[in-house]
Amino acid sequence: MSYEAAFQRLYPSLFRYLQRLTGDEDVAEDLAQETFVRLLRQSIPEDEVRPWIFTVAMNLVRDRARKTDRRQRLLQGAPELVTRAPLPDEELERKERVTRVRRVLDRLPERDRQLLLMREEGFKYEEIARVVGVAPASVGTLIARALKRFVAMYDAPEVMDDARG
Amino acid sequence: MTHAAEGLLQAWIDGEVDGSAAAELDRHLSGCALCMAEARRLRAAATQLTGALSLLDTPLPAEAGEQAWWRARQAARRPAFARFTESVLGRAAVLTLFAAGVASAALPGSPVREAISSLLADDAGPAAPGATEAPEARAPSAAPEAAAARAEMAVLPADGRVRVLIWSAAPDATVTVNFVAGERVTVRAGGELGEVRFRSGPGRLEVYDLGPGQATVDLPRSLAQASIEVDGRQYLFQDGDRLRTPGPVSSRTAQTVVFRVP
Repeated sequence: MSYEAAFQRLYPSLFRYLQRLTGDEDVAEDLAQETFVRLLRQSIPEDEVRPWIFTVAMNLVRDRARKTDRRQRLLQGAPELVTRAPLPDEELERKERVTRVRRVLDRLPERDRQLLLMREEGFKYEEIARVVGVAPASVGTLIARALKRFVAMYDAPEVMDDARG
Repeated sequence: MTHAAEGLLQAWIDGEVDGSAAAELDRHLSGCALCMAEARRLRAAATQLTGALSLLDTPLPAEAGEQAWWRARQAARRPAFARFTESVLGRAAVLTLFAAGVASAALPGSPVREAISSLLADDAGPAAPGATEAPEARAPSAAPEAAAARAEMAVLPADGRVRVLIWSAAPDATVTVNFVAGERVTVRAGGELGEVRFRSGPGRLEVYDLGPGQATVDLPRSLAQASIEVDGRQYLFQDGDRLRTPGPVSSRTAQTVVFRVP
């Protein structure tokens, strides 16, 4: 297997997946890099590389979330130092929509998030099942329910209000 | 056929049903308004999700993949322990430097205090050693005379590479790149509101809230690779002797390139 070819093929998709999952470009970049560092130290059959990479990336996201939670608990109550100028209407509206999507993703169960984001990256159900750890036959049902939950939360008034800050 | 299960409909939408099962479902859907409506709902939900998620995406700069591949290979060559100590000790060193800088700035007559004072007073004053590679620094904003002041931060390259990222630049903000001797990459930046902030990491320096202000980047000629991006768009990419300036160049000489944000 050519690692470089695998990298060229999978990096944009992994980066996008991680960025959507974490909401942070820098974190996504770091985790994508760490994932590929681990791949370079392994010997993985070519047809298993993609699910392997996304499984490792998901574990790294979980590790990082645990560490961040600890840090945020420690920093609770720290004053917000940044002051910002008011945004133009169009930019404000876009920002609200971004916040709304972010809020919904954050509130969805982790498995729903994984299912939806992997589906968006064009994974086959069998690959999704392997990474998420469910039966392949149940993936369709789980995705359908996750989609419905996403839409219900996205349109919920409290999420809209929350996004408006 | 009884009504189709939502999982089957979802699989059908996602192209996961084929052969005779797909043919049977097609036949059922053509005669069952209820299942067809459910399939449409699921498809609409998927479309809504795709649109919503695309709001979160930022485009990858053209060379980002190439740089990430290079970094991953470099990191993979180093043993895990070395990467751990590099990261932990590196951060500890930065914090120590920062703490030392802050402490010595408090002493009257200390060189750090003088450097910081001159930085605040002078538009493009000398570097404040205490400010170098601090996790985050802010330009002065409280005093009226600080409105035109510029803050400065420097980083060392990581494996000969540096990435400078400038965010929230308003139209007509300018970025001046000076090719200099030495090893350190220095950025001086200031906005009219004096709200510029910095963040740095190994081989990476970010400038936030430049607004309509100016940023000056001193880029060592010795770098293996450097890139300067403004709001996600690459303005300059240097790879060894090769220099590309895809950004809107106002002027260019052997020593300096000036960009103006459109």
